[in-house]
Amino acid sequence: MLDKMLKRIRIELVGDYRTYIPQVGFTDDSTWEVELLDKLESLLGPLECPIDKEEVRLDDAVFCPVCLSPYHQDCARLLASRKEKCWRCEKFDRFDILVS
Amino acid sequence: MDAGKALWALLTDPRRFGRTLYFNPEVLEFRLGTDTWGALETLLGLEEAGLLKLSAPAEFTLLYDYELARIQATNFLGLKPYEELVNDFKRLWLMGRVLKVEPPRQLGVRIPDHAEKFKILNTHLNKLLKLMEAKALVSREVYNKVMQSACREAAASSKDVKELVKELNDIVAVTTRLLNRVREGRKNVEEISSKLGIRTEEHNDLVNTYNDAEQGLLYILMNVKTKVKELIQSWEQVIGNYNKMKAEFSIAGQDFFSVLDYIIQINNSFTVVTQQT
Repeated sequence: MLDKMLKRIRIELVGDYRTYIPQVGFTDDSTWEVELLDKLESLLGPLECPIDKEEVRLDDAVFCPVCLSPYHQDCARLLASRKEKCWRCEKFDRFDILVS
Repeated sequence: MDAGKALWALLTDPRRFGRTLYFNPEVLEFRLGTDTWGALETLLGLEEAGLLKLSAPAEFTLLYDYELARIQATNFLGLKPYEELVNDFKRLWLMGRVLKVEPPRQLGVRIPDHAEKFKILNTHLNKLLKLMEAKALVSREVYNKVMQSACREAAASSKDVKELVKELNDIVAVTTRLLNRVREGRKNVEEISSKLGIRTEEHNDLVNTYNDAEQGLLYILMNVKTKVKELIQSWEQVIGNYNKMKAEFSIAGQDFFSVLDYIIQINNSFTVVTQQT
């Protein structure tokens, strides 16, 4: 029963977490989300699709929600059509809801 | 604790909406490289550091109380080894911190460790019951002499088990109260569903959870009943002769009467639950 309860725990980010993730370099609270997206590449390193091993551009990327592995839109569509799990974490298998 | 790693996992969680999100066991397990409960412990650490605020729906308090009662009863009755319960207890402790309730620090005593004391009490209760039956067959002097010595022994053994029987009574009382709260909770959910004219998935989950909790609580009571009858074999006779024993053995003292009263209270709770079921 306790395991069932876990999913309904609500988490709210309230404190100043910028000091904990210095490499993100947040400017202020109103723009932190934009900053986060900009710095995604620098944090994750070069974005490489696990399927074709080619570089992924941010505007063409689909991220696995569990492990944040970047996929090309087309590669993610391929996974969706085959109902395959993420090649890296092997946990997420609903790429159909991420690609149109 | 890797605060940066945990915060990064939360900030990049796709289910985050603004500054809030719900606990996502799968993502956190993978991203933090720990099990679900380890992830929750990390988040609780971040909450203590003032970076997060964790909250849970109000009905979780009832389910928390149920889990606490279940674990305490299982430990008290010795139904599972201590080592097996420690894990459950740790999880409960973490959930208690999310709910901002004061979780108990330890599991407490176990009845099997005190079985000998109950055996002695049972022997003395039997002696008193037999003495009552034999009252008409012996002279007053002999009866009084034997009765005084039996009462002294019964008083001493009652003193040894009084706290344990009280604990047993508390467990039964708490379980019975929880049973009513669970049934009330389920009734409320069903009323809301019928007023709205729809039954959401959340309502279904809650009703199922309340059903499970009800079965769990009835199971606790059944185990308690089995255990008390195993420990105090003269249970039924004591209940049947309660008033007579109180009048006859008034010199046995407060501890003895407390034990008798607890036995009656436990039995009354069982009767109420049986009538409701």
